[in-house]
Amino acid sequence: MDTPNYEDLRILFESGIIKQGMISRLAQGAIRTGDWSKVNDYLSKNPDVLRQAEKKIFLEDMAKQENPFFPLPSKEELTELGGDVGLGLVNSEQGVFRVPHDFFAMHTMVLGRSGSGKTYFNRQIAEQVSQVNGVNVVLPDSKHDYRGMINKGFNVILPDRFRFNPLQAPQWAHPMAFINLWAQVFSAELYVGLPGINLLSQALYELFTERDIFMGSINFPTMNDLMLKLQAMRRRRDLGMRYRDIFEALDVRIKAFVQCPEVFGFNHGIDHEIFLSENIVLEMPDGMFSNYTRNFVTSLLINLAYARNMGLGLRGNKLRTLFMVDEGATWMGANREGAGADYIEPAINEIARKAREFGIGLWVSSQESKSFNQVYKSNCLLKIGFPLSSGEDVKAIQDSFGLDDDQKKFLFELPMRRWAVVRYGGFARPFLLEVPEQ
Amino acid sequence: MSDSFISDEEVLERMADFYEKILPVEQSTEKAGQEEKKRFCPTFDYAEEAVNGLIIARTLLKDPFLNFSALIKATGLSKGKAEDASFWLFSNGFVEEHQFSVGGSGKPGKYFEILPDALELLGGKPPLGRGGFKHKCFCYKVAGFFAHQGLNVSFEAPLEGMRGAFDLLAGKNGFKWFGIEVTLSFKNLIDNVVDGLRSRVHELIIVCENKDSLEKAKQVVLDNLGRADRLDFKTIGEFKIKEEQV
Repeated sequence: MDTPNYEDLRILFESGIIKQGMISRLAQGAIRTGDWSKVNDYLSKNPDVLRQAEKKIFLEDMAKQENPFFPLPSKEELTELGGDVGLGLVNSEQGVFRVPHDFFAMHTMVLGRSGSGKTYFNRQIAEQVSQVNGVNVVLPDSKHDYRGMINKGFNVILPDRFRFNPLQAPQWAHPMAFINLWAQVFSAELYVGLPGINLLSQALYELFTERDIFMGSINFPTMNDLMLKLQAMRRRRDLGMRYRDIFEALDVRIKAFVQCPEVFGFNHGIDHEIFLSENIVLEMPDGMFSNYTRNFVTSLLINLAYARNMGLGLRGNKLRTLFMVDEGATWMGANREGAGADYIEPAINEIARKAREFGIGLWVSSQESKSFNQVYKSNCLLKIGFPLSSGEDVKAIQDSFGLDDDQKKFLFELPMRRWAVVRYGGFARPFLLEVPEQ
Repeated sequence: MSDSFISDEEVLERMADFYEKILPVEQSTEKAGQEEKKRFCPTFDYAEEAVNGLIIARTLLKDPFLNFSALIKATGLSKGKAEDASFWLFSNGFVEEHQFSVGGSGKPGKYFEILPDALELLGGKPPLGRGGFKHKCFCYKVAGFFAHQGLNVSFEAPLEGMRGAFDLLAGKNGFKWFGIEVTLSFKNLIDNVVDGLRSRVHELIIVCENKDSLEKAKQVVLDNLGRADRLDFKTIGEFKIKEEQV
């Protein structure tokens, strides 16, 4: 019985050639019987096999030195992954990395400096997901970046056609449950503490009672009505002095909505249900919406969607609505620390933690790593990093994506546009992605 | 990919139908006060078409869902006079015209809805049920069908366990109870199905306008809820009372 030549075997294993062709069968037989004579005989008669294996190892070492993300995802790995939404090209054979659309319910973060190709990439994903049966995409848009999606079957809501009453309780929601949810979202997005939540809830309760909302009336109050109600409460002896500062803070925050009557001045606005059934680009440009109002509207829509699906028992690991938020810099609390409000948890955290089960997916893009809070990072299945300029951001990507030092350095060598590093929970290692031109 | 500039005007033009669908009719409350509501004050000149118009309106108060042919029969007017009279009603703001089929297929029938101001003037009440005229018409047709089977029928009937109410509830003690939801837009279909199945009704029937919308409704439910027991889909045409049943 021949013993194996361990050095030869090491080379064959390392190169992966041991899994190929005749040598694979001979090696399996040898492992079974313990007799390596046939393997040794084969290798001595076919010296090219070992030479080929050594060459492969050498080339891979060289490639790895040049590209620390080597080996690239192979054709076999891509086939095994399956999926119906193509992210981009990942190997020299133009192999497309695909992800099952339902996995987007486990959230995605996209990072990259201005001009790195995030928006271009987002559009490609939005287009693909919007075509999936039973799924819709909502894109809040602050810079008219996504207006062109009208050509891809999206409905574009212009700011002067966006009529939205944040206080319009959806048909499926009990008014009291709506009040609680509303006060939570408002306080989280506009930095109002616990007493503020209580005052808001009380004001809304009184308004809803006065207008018979609990009895089924649909005569909803507007933000202006809410402001007047809070001002009236402020004049009350039992509340006014005690909560003077909080009333003032609420007044300033609600005024931002009242001063935009062309959007928020209606008793009845667009039905929230539209955002759960149609592919929509919702334009909320900077000139008309402050970051706070935009963030609040976005968070309210998402939280209502979550509450609705939960209330109706629409469970299952199935994506139903994908909210794609570009320019998410202020949304997740990036600037809270500076404002001394980091103790107030963003309204989206709860969604990031639990929404998967009810089919709500979040896809958030930003230019800075600190835009993403830890809750969101921890709950993201898919993380995509386009080129960045700040060392701090690159370091954050290294930590969050689990990159080694060579891979981190390589981030600075990425082409300017349409190349990204991807960390996907369904794939063992980080890889490079090229977003194809369309 | 989608970088070419698209102007506001182009978006408005291309999205006109969508905006019409999603935007509520109500004006901004801040602006509403600026436009005084136009008052309903028709001029009645005792011309033949005006008198015949009132005959038609009175007939419609009794039976709001008569189609044009049935209206001719019920009033005894000739077709030409009925047309003139209905035009007078329309141009004086008494009625709005609707065209749709309640047979599930075939030529749509012409219906006249008496508008709220005219109802007030004539001392009538709007038909029971919720939704628009077409929705109510379908509800009445289904209600008539079940009543003809000897079942008790209620409009907007809530049952224990539900948050809302069925469009119709039909049945009687010792027999089955049916919850009926007429769906024309699919917007609240899933909510209605989930809510309806919370009740102890024996069967929830989703009534659709035609076969195409029935298939769509089935697909929407399947996509969102999977297969559901106690749920049936029917077209409005299936609620025709056959001659031998009369």
